Amino acid sequence: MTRAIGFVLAAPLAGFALEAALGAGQFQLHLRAWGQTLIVAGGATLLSILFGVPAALALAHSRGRLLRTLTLFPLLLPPVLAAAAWLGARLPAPGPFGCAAILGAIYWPVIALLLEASLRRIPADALDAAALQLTPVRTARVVVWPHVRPALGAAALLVFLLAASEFTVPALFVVPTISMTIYEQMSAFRTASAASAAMPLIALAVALAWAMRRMEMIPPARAARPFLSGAPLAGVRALASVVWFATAIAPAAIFASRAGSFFPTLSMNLDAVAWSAGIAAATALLLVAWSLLSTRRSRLEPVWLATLALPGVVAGLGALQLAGRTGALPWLAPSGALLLLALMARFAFAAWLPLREPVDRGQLEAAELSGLSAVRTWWRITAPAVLPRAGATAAVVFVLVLGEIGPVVLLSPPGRLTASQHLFNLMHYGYDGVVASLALFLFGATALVTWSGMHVGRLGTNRFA
Amino acid sequence: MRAARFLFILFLAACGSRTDEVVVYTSVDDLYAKEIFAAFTKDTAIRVLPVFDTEESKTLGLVHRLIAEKDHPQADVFWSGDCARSALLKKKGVLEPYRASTADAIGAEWRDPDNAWTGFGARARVIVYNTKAVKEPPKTIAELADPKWKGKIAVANPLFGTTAAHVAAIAQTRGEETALKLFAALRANDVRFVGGNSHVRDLVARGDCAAGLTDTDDVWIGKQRGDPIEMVFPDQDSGGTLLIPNSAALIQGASRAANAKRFLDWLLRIETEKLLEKGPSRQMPVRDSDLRRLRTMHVDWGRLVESEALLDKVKSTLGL
Repeated sequence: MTRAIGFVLAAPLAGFALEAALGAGQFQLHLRAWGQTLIVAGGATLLSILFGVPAALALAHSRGRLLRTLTLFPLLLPPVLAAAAWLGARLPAPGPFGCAAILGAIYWPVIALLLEASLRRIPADALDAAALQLTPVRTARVVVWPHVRPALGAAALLVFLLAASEFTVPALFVVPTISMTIYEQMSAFRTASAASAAMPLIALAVALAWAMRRMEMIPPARAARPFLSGAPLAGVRALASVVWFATAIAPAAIFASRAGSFFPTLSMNLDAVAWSAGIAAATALLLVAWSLLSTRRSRLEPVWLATLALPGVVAGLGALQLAGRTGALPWLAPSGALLLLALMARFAFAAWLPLREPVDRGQLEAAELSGLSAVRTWWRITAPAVLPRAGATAAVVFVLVLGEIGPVVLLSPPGRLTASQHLFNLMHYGYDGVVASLALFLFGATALVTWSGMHVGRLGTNRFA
Repeated sequence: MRAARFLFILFLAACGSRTDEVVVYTSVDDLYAKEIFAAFTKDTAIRVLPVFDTEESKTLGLVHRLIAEKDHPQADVFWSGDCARSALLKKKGVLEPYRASTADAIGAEWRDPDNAWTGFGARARVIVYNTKAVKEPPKTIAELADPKWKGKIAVANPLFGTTAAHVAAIAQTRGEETALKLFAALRANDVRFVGGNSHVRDLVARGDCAAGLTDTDDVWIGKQRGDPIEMVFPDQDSGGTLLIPNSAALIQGASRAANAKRFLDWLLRIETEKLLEKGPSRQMPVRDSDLRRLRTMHVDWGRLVESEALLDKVKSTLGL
């Protein structure tokens, strides 16, 4: 069942590849675009590491949910809003380096969250032994670094991929990155050429899926064994506070100060807000339910990751083409089912990875040897480990879907408009107050859903404890 | 099992189309399209189910969707903010010829020769300038390449949107070489190529650039919020200004064809053009005699959509 759904979720990318294969076109290398992409995505990755590492260290040494919620905020800020704010503030260098700065300031939470999960898993006995013999610097080099290196590497690669496939900021700053090239080629109906431009991104996604094959995405419920104290911890917290302030608190405060007519705006756009929330909730719940059906690793993971890493329009177009060719379009499109499918395909990896292999195989083998049925094994062993993560995972998927545009334009059922779509159109008119109100709503929804997600997780843990 | 069967029937019923509806795919901003739809529903009691594009997806959204849906059309009407997209859809066999009974007064230059689409309510490509910084604004597009404007002019990315259509129109009316030379001269004059037409307007309004090339709707929106900007309809002594009318078309195989035709008849009335003229974008009625006094470019929109090769050349010329 899980595998069958997994194949369905791989279908949009297959649809895109099929169109590319069927469409006559010239395969090009797009070397210049890749040069610009290296500057933009490489710069964004470096900045993300600079921002994300202190934040991860501070998160690993804290218990509060507020900081983790703040960490998610920048991910929700539509990059194009950040780019517009950059231009509005007349900041210098709105070229590739400006793109890199904006994308780095948006994607650093990916580094922070993955690194935090890894930091919390450093064996306490290794840290205790190191504390007896080693200086803090040597502890960092000998114990911490080897442990977190794979997580940091994978997170950096994920940020690189996300920054390379982001389209709106390079479009606003007129930087011809590979994502711009994909859009240009698709605008000219050269799907094969668009696919050739996307191919290296798909290869990178496959490499990343391989690097992440054993990685834990969500920190364990228990607190980490602290390994920083005194001045280093204070320094890390100060740096992290600057990052949180600059990328989460300040934008939210700016939107709050400009959102003069918040409630009238929301009530005027209630249908868009309700539709956005509904489709995001449905996507999150279905994906989490699917991920809970089987917690084993899957060979389709690279395909799901590639669907996440490529521009969103690829998933939308692939789903549309495939539904058209199979004759399923009239059945799926009007109800929004096709949109739901494309959104699920787009974010399948984000839901799957955190819930994959939540318990050691040894425990499962022990349960099997003791004669526990599969259902009882799931209920007694897997569920207590997986439920706390399920809430947080659903919250992250909900937030990601709220900000999504690509598949929405291509697959929205007639009469439906999402809050993000509306927000982009309003930006065109310079209606700053309304844009600020809607952005503030998106921030508020993130905070609420993240807190609820974590609360559900905690309830689940307590119940099973 | 019975419950599941009941739910499935309910689902299918929900998917089915109602007779008092029309599905309109539109690349026009939802902000003022919604007002037009509400007025139509008030007049006819037919509910409009719109699907909107966004600026963010550039031209990728609805045109791709309509082509992919060609064999199983979900839309009844396509209402575009320009004629290029409709011309492209005609070429792809997505549109069905229909001559609205209310559109007889619309001139032949604003409609497809086979009635696949009809133009109405136009925007124009204009030179926007800052009234505080510029006393004698440029009168032609070629003037923007004059050294006295070096580094002071902004133009949107010519690979997308109405700027791309403008490049193709210049190539069609004055020759490809002229168009490429013009944009190379603009590049040499340190023109700032930016993300979109509204960004051009904002740069000019803030005084970061003295002038720029944009659309009338962007200028009107800026003026309404008090920006110190004005506009010039360029090339009135030679070549003419490019007008970009909206266009509306019937989708081939539309399942609510009767409602779609009623919608098109209603949309293409002079009253609707007047409504668009009063809106925030101040779109100009194509039946208006004032518009006839304007020297405009005569563009074959059908040929204009075959400009991928030209845009490749523009891209390499400008290094974009």
